Amino acid sequence: MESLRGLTSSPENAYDELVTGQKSIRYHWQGILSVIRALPGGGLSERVESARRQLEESGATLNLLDDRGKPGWTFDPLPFVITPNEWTALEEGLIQRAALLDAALADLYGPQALLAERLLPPMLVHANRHFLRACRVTDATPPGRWLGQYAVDLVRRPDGSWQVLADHTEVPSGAGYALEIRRVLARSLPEVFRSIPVRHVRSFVDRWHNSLAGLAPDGVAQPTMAVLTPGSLSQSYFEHVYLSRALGVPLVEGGDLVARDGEVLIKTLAGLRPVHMLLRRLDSSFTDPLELRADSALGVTGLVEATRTGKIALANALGSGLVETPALMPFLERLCRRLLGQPLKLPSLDVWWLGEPTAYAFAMAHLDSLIVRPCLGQDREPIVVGMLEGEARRALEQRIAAQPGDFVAQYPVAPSLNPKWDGQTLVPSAVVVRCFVIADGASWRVLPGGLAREPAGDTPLRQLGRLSGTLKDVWVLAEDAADVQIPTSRRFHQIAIDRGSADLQSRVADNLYWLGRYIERLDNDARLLRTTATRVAQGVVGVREGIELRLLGKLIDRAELMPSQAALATPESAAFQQGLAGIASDRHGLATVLDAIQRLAGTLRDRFSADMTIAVGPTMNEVRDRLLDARGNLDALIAALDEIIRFVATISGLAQENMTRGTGWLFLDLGRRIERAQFVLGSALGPFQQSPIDWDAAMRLALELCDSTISYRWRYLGQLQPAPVLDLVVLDDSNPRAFAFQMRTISSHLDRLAQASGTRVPDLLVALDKDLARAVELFAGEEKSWRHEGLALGVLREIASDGLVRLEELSEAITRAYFSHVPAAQAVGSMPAMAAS
Amino acid sequence: MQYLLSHRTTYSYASSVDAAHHIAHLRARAFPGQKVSSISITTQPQPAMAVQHLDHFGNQIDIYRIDQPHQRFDIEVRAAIEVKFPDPPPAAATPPWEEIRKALVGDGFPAPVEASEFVHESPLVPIDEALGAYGAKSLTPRRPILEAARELMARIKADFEYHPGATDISTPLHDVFEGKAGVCQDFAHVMIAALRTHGLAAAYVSGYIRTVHSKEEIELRGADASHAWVAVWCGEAAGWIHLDPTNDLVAHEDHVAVAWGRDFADVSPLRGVILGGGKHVYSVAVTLVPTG
Repeated sequence: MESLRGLTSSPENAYDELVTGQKSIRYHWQGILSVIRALPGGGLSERVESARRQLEESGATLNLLDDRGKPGWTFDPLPFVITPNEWTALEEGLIQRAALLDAALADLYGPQALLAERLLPPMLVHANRHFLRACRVTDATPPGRWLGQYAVDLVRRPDGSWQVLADHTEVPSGAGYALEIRRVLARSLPEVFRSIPVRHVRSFVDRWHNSLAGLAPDGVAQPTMAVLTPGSLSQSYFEHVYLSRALGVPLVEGGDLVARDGEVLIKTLAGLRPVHMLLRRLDSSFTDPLELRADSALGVTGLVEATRTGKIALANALGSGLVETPALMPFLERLCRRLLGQPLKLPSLDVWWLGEPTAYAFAMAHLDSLIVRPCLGQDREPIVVGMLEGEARRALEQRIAAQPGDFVAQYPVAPSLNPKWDGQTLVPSAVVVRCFVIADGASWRVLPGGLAREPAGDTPLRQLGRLSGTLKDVWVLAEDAADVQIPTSRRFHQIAIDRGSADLQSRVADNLYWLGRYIERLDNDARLLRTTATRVAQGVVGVREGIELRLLGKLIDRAELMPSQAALATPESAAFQQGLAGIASDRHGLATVLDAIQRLAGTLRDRFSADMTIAVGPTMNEVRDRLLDARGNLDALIAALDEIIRFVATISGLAQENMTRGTGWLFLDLGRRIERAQFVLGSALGPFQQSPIDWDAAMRLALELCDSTISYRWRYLGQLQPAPVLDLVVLDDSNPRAFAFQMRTISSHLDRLAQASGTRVPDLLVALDKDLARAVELFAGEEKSWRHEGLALGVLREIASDGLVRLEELSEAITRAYFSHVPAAQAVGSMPAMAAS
Repeated sequence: MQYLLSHRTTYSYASSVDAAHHIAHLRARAFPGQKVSSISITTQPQPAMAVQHLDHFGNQIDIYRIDQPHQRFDIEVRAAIEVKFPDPPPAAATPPWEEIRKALVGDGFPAPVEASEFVHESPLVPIDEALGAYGAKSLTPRRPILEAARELMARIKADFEYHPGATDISTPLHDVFEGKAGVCQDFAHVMIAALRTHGLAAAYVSGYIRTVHSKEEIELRGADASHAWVAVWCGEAAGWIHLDPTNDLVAHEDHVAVAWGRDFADVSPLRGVILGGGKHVYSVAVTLVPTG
């Protein structure tokens, strides 16, 4: 009970990071403030705005949304500053703590001497939901390291000393945000970084890469590594993408991996490739449906067994969340002496585990002034007892009395106050500092920086796992200029040059292919609707427009862009016009295509450049809003459709100019080409399939839908004849909208994929152009010979429908060859009668 | 008593299974009440990988990976086992249950550590007020632990109807208790919850029970399938006593233990993750032949 003494923390006497007790500005802040005051132009406000915009565009604020869909955090430009001397001590304490928790995990998942020697209450292990019994090391190879990454939340006490608020060992997140915030801040406030010696954080990523390589199993010369993510719906997916890029390793989901004979392999286009080290961002309990949560669809069946063989290492090892419980804190001092033979350097928060009778009695006597936290189950949110009344208060007492060991108690925390920019001036706000530690050979390394957070809610203990509230940079000041930056030489592995990128995950190839198809479908749909809307917008529907609109209605129906009864109604009818006006809001048609693009682009965010991310993110949202706003207004609708077509052009441009022509690009483009080929044969030639055919309408629409009207006019001065029209939209392989162009490109893509992956998909379209050429030739004769429904039209129709079938078969062949469409996994054997009797 | 055991489980799938992983708690463990002189497991199809480990509780587990397409999976364990649980001490001579509880709480540092793990709630056995009240009727003040536990066992046998199909593994324990019907694993879970709610340590034991075929004798329930019962911590002197609430029996020579854990989920005999397969049915056949 020594820890109870001298605890008088309250917000009134909180430590002030900016001002000393004598009301003077602390020395290290004077320089920073003078640079900020001297900022030219719009001053700090302008810089903050630019930084916020950059963070938004990078996607850092995505996914971390609160319940109302607003970004869950905001950014503040004023850093938390740590002086060199202070940092040295802090760093030592953090390194010691990482070593301590690592050693504690090794014992608790191994011999459990700490329990036998009565140094730690067994309940903190046995009743802890993070204790995964399947991960107990009995007869297998123990992990070399339990913690490859570790994050700590710290506060500065009123007396200026540091105290640990929380340990994050299961999935220690935040480092990616810290690095990104620093990058953005350095771009927004270069003047400050020029004059203040802030230690750089960039080299940390290089270190981290080496650190992970060092954690890989022994005997692997060039370990393959990957970041394991729960997927794009995860709260901190931005960080998973960020780390995978910064570390230069692929981002994988459970579905990308298989475990086989103790090895873990990535499913790629070129087959299965072993992976040796996973930076784990997926909660342990979800990683293996065989031995952990059977209901997890995010894991890898057999992963636990693979870790037992020692051929795969995970950072952190499975089950590492065990030592996150705050109930461990009161025992860390003696654990440190036992496991490391040293006194604990960095004190923890003063919490008491109520499973000890003295702590329990004290807590119950002083309950009103305390914060109580459940410490072993899923829910670990703090309860500020003083705020409870009547029944709720009695219920809490009963809960604690029934299971005192499930709770810890403590006095409220009073973090130090740091300046914050409120738009006009500096205001003090309480901050918690998160520091990051990684394994480094036999030792540990601390990120010289971090992430400061002004916690939301009534106590900084709320939502410890989430990055919410206001986030800010942490600056560690350098002793002298020589200390700034200068990454020490990296242990450099010779990396083979690789341009084939057959290592592309099958799942990613699948998503890129369909993204390509949906982007093209969006373009086609928008063109079809625009063609229709411009005719309707002319007001009076003439005879010619009437015929064309009826044909377009059929195509719109085929593409499911309007309800059938509207699409097939007469163009003058209210039903048709209302259907057209409502295309934006309908749950089918354009909306589903936009949804599909958004979903697929979300899963592919890790593969896109910043510009592409903006295009499929904010830009696409604007396009969608525009379309929704246009409901009922034909002119606005046409403008919105124009915008969609321009949006697709932007994406095409980016894909064409900014993506390397690797296998990923090939799949994206293959999807587009196959979709466009279908559009030419199905929609653009659709009016040729009608009986009786209206020749003029069919020819005009074919040109317009293939965006070839101008080219035709240039070549043939406007006189419409079927042979030149069909030549331009079907056979001319210099016209990027013509069928032949798609065919040639598809064939070349299939060749390149076969070379890169070793798997060949036969070109099912082969000779289709010859057949089409034969059909078009039949139209080249006398007008009399083709104007009636004769041979020529019959042959054209037959070949077009054969082409559509072959395109469908080709798409299926690509799917079978390259995309891992494994049947759904299911759990068996948890049935009653298995043990029933 | 010596036994020859054969325990065969068959899964039949509606469509082909491309690949499967299975984890089995089928290898009977040895302990002071039981000797395992031989044991072997065969599967059909042959596994691409088969490994054995000890689990956290000291049980033996087998993990299999099958990578050839199959529509049927057979796994059979054959063993020669000798059982003689030590005679339990006279119930009246065991310590009062409150003393056992006190040691298991131990102001945070219980003794023994190993037994204290079985005091806490577990995935299938939550702490439950109604079950606590049920247990309290047997746990009268200062009553010797074994006496109280045996009475609780007898009451469960009397109060609950043995009724296969009344429950499945997803039926919450509270509903089992309200319905007063179930199978052996429900009986075991009820007894475990009733004891744990009072701070006592109780483990779930999976295994088999000897079939008695003579007409004169009442056929013991649970024959020809796997069985489950409860081990209750009765203090350092008496140790774990195995009590079978389905049959109101203290394990002596008729019970063969395979594995123990906190509840069924820790020791389910066979479970797995399969790719494909569609719907499946399974069957279990157990033969436990006394050989002297």
